[in-house]
Amino acid sequence: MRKIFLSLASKLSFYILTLTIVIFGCIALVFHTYSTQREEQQAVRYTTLLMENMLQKIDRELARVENLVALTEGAVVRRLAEPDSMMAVVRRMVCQDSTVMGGCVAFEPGYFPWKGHYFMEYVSLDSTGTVHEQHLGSETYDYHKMSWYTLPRYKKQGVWSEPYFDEGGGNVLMITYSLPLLDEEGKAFAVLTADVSLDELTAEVNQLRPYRDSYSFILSRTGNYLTHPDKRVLLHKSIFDRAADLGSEELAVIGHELLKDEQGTMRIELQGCDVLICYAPMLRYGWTGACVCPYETIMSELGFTALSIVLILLSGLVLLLVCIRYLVVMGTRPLADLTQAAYHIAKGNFTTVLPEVDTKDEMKQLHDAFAFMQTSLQNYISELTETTRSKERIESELHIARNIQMSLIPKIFSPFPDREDLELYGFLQPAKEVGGDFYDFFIRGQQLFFAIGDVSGKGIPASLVMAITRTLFRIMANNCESPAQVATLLNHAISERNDENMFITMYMGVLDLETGRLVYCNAGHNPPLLIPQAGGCRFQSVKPNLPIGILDGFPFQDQTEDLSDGTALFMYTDGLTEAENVGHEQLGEGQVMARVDAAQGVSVKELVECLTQCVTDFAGEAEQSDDLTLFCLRLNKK
Amino acid sequence: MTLTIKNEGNVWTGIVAGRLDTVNAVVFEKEMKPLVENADKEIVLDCKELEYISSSGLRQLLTLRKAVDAKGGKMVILHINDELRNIFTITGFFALFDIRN
Repeated sequence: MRKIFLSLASKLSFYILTLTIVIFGCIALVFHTYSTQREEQQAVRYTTLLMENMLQKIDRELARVENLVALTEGAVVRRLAEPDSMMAVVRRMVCQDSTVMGGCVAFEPGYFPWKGHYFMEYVSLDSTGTVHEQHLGSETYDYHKMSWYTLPRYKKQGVWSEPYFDEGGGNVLMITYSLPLLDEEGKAFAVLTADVSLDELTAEVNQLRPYRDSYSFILSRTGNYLTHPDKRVLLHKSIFDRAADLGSEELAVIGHELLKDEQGTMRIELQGCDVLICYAPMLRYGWTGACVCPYETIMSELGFTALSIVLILLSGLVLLLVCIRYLVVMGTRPLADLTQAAYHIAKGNFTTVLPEVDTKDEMKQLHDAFAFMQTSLQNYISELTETTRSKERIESELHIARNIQMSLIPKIFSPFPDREDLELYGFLQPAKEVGGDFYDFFIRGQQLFFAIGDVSGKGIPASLVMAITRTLFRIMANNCESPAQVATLLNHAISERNDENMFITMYMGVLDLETGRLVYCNAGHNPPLLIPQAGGCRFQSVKPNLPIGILDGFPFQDQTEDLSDGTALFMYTDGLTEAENVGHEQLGEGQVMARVDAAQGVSVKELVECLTQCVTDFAGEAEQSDDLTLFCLRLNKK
Repeated sequence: MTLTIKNEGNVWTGIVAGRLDTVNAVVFEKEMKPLVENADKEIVLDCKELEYISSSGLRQLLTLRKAVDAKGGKMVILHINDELRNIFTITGFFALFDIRN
């Protein structure tokens, strides 16, 4: 599962999908914002249009009533001579229009002197449709002082009253249109009224429901409810009364806004509900129509659309995921195959057949690079095999060469079992497989011939010269009496054909085993140490002469020293004194002498082994810098 | 090991620094070619900064000396330290070269 999740295909799909979701999300957000604005504009336009229609309709109905009253005015004027027929005129008006629930004509005080101070004819319909006629006007009902009478009189034009409950006529909300009747001088002499039930208006207004849960109402110029779908609201009379009753500040704010005689919309929190209110004035009456639409309802349509879009997007994304996975898996299939091939090749199976790649893309390049690598690897491995083989051959040859070289060095100690007075021990360790150091000795008569030598350089070239030198020494020493003679002959032989300028430092000597007299010749070699039995070693005084092989004809000179009883002669090559540690510090002659003094009284074998150990300890991790040879002899006279 | 070669008129100066051991001797052999080629002139080896010389190094000096002898030039070794002086003395090379301070 983990592997699948980490695969290239999965990762690529994941990244692409995430990016797509983010992009889709941004688009959806922009789209949503835009749509919301558009939807709101649409709602406002739609609601306003519906409301204007509704208001026009109401206007037409009210205009009809005004017309009816105006027509009745003509009838009243024509019949001013017959006041008793006024009731019939009013009655005809009331019965003529279904919305008119009552009406009256009321005259100025004493207009018809014989009718008295008050003259008012009133006709009304009750809820059953029965007509009631009444002569009103008395001291207790002094209509001359009532607003429905005084206001039109004063304004000299028709006036619609504020809504009121007609307690006598079925407890319905009514409004009254009052029209002043003017004489030729423009002076009012009577007022004609028509009472209109708001029931029908309310029904009309209630039909304006552009959205679910939306409702409409109409306010009078003072904020009184003319219509409201909720009858209980009507009992509050005005929107401000209701705001006060409910303790709703926002309703009061809405009321003030609605009564500005302007068309508009507002979005406001109303009783915990986010609503959009569209409103428009009816200027002729000073009224305002308003439609309240819950915002949520307006947007519910949009919510459904949004949900559909999200669902479509999601299915699109799933499809995209499937397609991407398929494409990526197809595209990266060669990778998996190449991976398998790589494992096979890594296991050493270089002839593994690489998978075919038909495309010309990066996969093909990878495939070609892979094929190239495979070929190169094959070549490299075969070369390496060849190199290893020849290296092994050289190594085996070197090993044989080492054995041959070591066989040139005497290794049997003690080599002279019958000479108990002579101690001898030698040690040789080339820095490489083979080296240029050597030592040798043999007894001729009563004389011990010996030599130690160091060919310049190390390794194979030095080993060749060493072999020659050691062989020549053996031959020449056998036929010579003094070391200087040997050195001169050897020098001549080596110098003769020495194009490589190889040279050998040598110390050679002849020790008389009876007398202990040592004749020696030093050819540029390190001076040996003389170690008396009593302790206190010192370097032997030697003339340097010149190394063998440098200058043909050089006059080598012998030196003589009588070795006192038990004095050891310790010879070495510069592999001892110039042994180096990791810091390229050299062991030095001082340390060698100190170590020799410390090993007082031991056998020559132990002394050699002690100094070998000393070199090993000093060098530590450092590679052996030069061939190392130690050769020690001691004559113990009885 | 570094070998810096300078030429002033008839004098070719090689300044050797560091350690002239068996491994470096191979490098030295290549780098001293200009000196060998001009072995008919005056060759000066300044060893002020030479710390150590092995027998392989000595062999290179010998090669240079032989070239100088063959071509009729002159060779001088300058400023060898005490350790080198010791090696030169032991091996007899001190007598073989013109060594000056």
